[in-house]
Amino acid sequence: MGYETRIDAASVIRAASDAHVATENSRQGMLLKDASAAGAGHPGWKASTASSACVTAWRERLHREADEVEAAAKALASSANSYVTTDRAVAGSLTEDATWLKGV
Amino acid sequence: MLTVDALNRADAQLWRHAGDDAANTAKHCEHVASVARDEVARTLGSAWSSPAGDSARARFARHAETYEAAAMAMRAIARTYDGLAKAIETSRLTLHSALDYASRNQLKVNQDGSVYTDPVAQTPEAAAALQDAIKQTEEMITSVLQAATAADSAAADELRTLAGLVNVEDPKAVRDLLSGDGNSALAVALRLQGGASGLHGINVSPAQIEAARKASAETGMSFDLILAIMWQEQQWYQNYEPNLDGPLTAAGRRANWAGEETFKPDKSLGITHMKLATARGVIQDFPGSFPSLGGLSDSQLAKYIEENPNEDVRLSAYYMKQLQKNPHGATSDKQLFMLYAADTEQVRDSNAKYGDDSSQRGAAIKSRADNWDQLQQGLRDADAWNGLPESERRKALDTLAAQTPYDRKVDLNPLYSGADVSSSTYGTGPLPPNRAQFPPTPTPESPVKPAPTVPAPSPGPQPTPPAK
Repeated sequence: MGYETRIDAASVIRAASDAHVATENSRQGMLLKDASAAGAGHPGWKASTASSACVTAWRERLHREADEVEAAAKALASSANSYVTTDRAVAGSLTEDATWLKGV
Repeated sequence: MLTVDALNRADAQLWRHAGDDAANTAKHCEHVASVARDEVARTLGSAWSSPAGDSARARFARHAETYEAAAMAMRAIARTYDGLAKAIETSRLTLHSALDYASRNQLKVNQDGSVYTDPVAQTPEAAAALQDAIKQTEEMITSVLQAATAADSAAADELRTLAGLVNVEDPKAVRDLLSGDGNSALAVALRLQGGASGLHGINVSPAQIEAARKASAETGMSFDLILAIMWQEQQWYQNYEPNLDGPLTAAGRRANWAGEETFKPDKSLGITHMKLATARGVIQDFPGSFPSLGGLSDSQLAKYIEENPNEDVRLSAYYMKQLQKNPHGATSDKQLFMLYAADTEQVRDSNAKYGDDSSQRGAAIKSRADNWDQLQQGLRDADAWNGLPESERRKALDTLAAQTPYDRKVDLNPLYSGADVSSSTYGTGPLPPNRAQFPPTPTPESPVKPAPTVPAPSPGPQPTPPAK
């Protein structure tokens, strides 16, 4: 493929771990509980209905996004680990053909 | 409009906490974006040189962008909450002051802000002073209710726009939208995408929309009030033939006309459901506006109303102008909307007593009042969309199309569309990315090259929108 594979597996694994930790820690900070309570506490206000819908939509988006980052981090770590545990030539071929990261 | 109780019970502190919550969420988003971009993507750039490494880096760079977009939206949500909290604090101070004054002077306050007192024997001077106090208190309360209602509506519009931003992952599009005044074409489009839940559209052609606009200019009645009447009063056949040009429309018109002629002389006619006697009264009250209709027989007039929907719209606008001549219980568009169905003493008295507060009404009037309330958001959004230049509408639709997979349609479904108002298009974006497919971890004993289990996205040619 005219592309020499070069990988610093330890750095990649560390980066994947950083991404996982950051996302995992952020989950509790993205629940928008107070925002939800404000909407529920104002019956008769248009902003109440709009806020509840807005909070629900963003919770779902942020949850989905966190899932995707964690899945990508896990896959990243897994691929890098394959370099550590298998023959480098085979692993290079494997990772070059991996499709999971190409869904961008 | 907000009621006295709704404002009195509002808790600004709850919205302040909500603002802090959203701002805190923004910080978390920014942190994840920073890790994805500055730690992961950058590390991958130097530590993994291969096509797979490049793809992984691009993927985390993209996550950084979408988290940045989310952070911007969260900060905007926080600003909206804070603004609403501030408006509530200010409004409640004024309201409490007015309510204290009313209490000290034995004045009673209705939910819509109107003020009254139980009748007592008093000198003419005392009665005049009391009326003055009632007037001042009422003005203060209704004014503060209007201000709080305006703040509520503005916050609701902003939050509806920001809810729509969950589907926009491009930080530039988010930044462009948030840098505007909240009424850009994209902002309005996002609100429309959120939808007016469960409401059917105003099933008429652009010609009737234009007729409503002209009738509004001619009579001074509000355009949205006339549209609301058209929405509420539509005939059954308009669900199937909004252009009023098919066999069902013809059959419906014949049935109405024949009914009016025979077994049901008070049959409601035309797309605004007007009774013949009502139309006759309008024509008599405004002879200069309907010079050719005064001499028609009942049969001819019924046929005319059925066959001339634009004139039907005009008659309705003039009817509401007629209703307004007696101001008792007819001081707002909503009250006129209710009177249109039943101009009775009871409805007028209730309108005067309860104002625009729907919660105090009963039976069919309650249902009609609720319909009015539900329509307002959709009408406001449709007005905003129809009022934009077509080039801006197209640009907003293109932005949404780019965020929409090419096998889906973007359909904003405004409550009404005037002539040459675009409100739908086809998606031009890629299909959703495949979920992560983890390659099996090879072992030294079985170095088998895995076959891809999920094909990479391979968009075909974009569909061509149908010719207009």
